[in-house]
Amino acid sequence: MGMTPGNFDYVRVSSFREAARILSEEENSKILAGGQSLIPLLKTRIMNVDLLIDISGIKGSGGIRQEKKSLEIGATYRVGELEGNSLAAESFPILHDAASSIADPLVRNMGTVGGNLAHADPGNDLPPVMVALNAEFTVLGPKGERVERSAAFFKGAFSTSMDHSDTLTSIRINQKDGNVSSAFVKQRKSAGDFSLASVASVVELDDSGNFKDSRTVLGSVFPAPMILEGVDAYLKGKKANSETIKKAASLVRTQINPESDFFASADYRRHVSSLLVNNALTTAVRRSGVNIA
Amino acid sequence: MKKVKVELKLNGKQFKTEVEARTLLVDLVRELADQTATHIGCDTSNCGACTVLLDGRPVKSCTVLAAQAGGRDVKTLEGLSEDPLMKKLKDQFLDKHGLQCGFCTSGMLISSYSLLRKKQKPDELEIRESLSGNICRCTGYGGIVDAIKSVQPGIEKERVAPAPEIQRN
Ligand SMILES: Cc1cc2nc3c(=O)[nH]c(=O)nc-3n(C[C@H](O)[C@H](O)[C@H](O)COP(=O)(O)OP(=O)(O)OC[C@H]3O[C@@H](n4cnc5c(N)ncnc54)[C@H](O)[C@@H]3O)c2cc1C
Ligand code: FES
Ligand code: FES
Repeated sequence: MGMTPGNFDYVRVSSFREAARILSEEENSKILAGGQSLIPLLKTRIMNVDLLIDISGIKGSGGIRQEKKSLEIGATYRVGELEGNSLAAESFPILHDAASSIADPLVRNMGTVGGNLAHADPGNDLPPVMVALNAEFTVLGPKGERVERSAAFFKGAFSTSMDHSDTLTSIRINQKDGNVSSAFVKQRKSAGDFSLASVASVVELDDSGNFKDSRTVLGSVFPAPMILEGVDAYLKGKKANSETIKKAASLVRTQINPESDFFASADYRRHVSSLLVNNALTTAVRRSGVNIA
Repeated sequence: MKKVKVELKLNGKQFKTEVEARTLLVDLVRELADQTATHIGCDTSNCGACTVLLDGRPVKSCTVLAAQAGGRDVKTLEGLSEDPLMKKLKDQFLDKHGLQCGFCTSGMLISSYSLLRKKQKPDELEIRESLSGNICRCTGYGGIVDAIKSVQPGIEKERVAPAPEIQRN
C-alpha cells in the first residue's frame, strides 16, 4: 500500500459557484485541482483536510481561448496541455519555456496552471512568468468575481491575495502591440527538481532596436516573485545588444540580497540570478529578431 | 468519513468499487484490481514506478486519488499486453538491456509508449526528456534510451481530444 493521507471527504463540483459555496460553508475544506502539490502534502500529513473539492471536472474550466490580442487560460488547464499548445507558444514563447520545464511530463499531465499559481510555492515556475506578462487573474469569492493583477496576487511563500473561500477561475494575458518577445530560464540541480532560481523576461524593442519597455522577474529566490526594477530601468532606451544585457545582468549582483539555506548559498543565488537575467534577456531579444552574440 | 463510489474503465473493462476518499489510484489498481505491474517505488511523486495512463496520458498513480480517476479511462501495463507498439517496445527493452531488476520497467515502458505515440522517431534529447519523471537505479539509462531508439515506426499517431473552450459558469 502507498502512504495514505488522513481521512477526508471528496466532492466533485460542476461549477465554480458551487465550489465557492462549499468553501465558505466548510471550514477545513480545500480545492483539489491536479493534486500534484496537495496530494504529497496530504500523504506526508504535513496538511490535513476534512473535505476536498475537485474542480477539475467543471465544464469548460480547463479550456484555453486565444483571441487576437489576448489569451485566456482556464484554471484547470493542464500544464502538459500548455506545453503542447503551439499557438500559445507562438504568441508567448515564455509560456512554453516554463511549461516544458516544470517538474516532469508525468506531473505536468496532472498539474494545472491555476494550481501552480494558487499554490504559490516559491519554487513554482508560473508565478514569475505571469508577473512578467502582467497577467490578470479572475478570482471568484463569496461576494462575486474580481480581477487581480498578477503582481499584487503573490504575497509570499504559499500566500496569495486569495483567502480561504476564493477560487482562481481563469488567467488572462494581454498581447502588447509592437515588437514584444519573452523568455523564461531556470536553474535546478537535476531533472524534475524545483528551481533554485528562475528569470522571466518580457521585452519590447522599438524600431531602432532599443529597449522600449521590459519587465524582468526573478523567481524562486525570494518568497514571492520579484520584479527587478533596477534592471528594467537600466535597459530603458538602450541598444538591445550583448553589452547592455551584460551590464544589466551584473546589476543584479548588487541589487538583491538573498539568504543562504540548505539548497544554495546567498552568493550562489546572486551569481546564478545574474546569469539567468543575462540568458533570459538574450533569448528574448533574439526572439525579437535581433541578432546578438 | 463517507466512502466514495468510483467507477472507471480499467484496461478496457468497467471497474466499480467503493473506497475511502483518501484511497490512492495506485492502491485501487494493485490492491483492489490485482493489477500489480504498476509498482510503488518512492511513494513521493519522484520515481515514476507507479506510472499509468489516465485518459491516454501518463501520470504518477501514487499522486492521484482513486476518486479523481472516476469516470475516466485507466490503463496499466497489463492492459497494453496485446498492443503492437508495446510489444515492439518490450522486445527492444529485452534486446538492448533496457532493464536489470525490472522494478522501474513498467513505468519506463508506459512513459516511452506515450512518447512513441506522439512522435514516431524521437531524438535522444526528446527520449531523455520524456523519461525525466522515471528513475532507474540499475541500468544507467543507456540501454533504455537505445531500446526506445530502436523501435521501428509504423504506428498510429496519438489522438488526444483538444481542450474545450472556456465557458463562463
Ligand atoms: C516531483 C514534483 C516536481 C515538481 N516540480 C515543479 C517545478 O519544477 N516547477 C513548478 O512550477 N512546479 C513543480 N511542481 C508542482 C506542480 O507543478 C503542481 O502541479 C502545482 O504546484 C500545483 O498544481 P495542481 O493543479 O497539481 O494543484 P493542487 O495540488 O491540486 O493544489 C495545490 C494548492 O492550490 C490550491 N488550488 C488549486 N487550484 C486552485 C484554484 N483554481 N483556486 C484556488 N486554489 C486552488 C489547492 O487548494 C492547494 O492548496 C512539482 C511537483 C512534483 C510532485
Ligand atoms: S511511486 Fe509514484 S512516483 Fe514513485
Ligand atoms: S531496472 Fe532496476 S530500477 Fe530500473
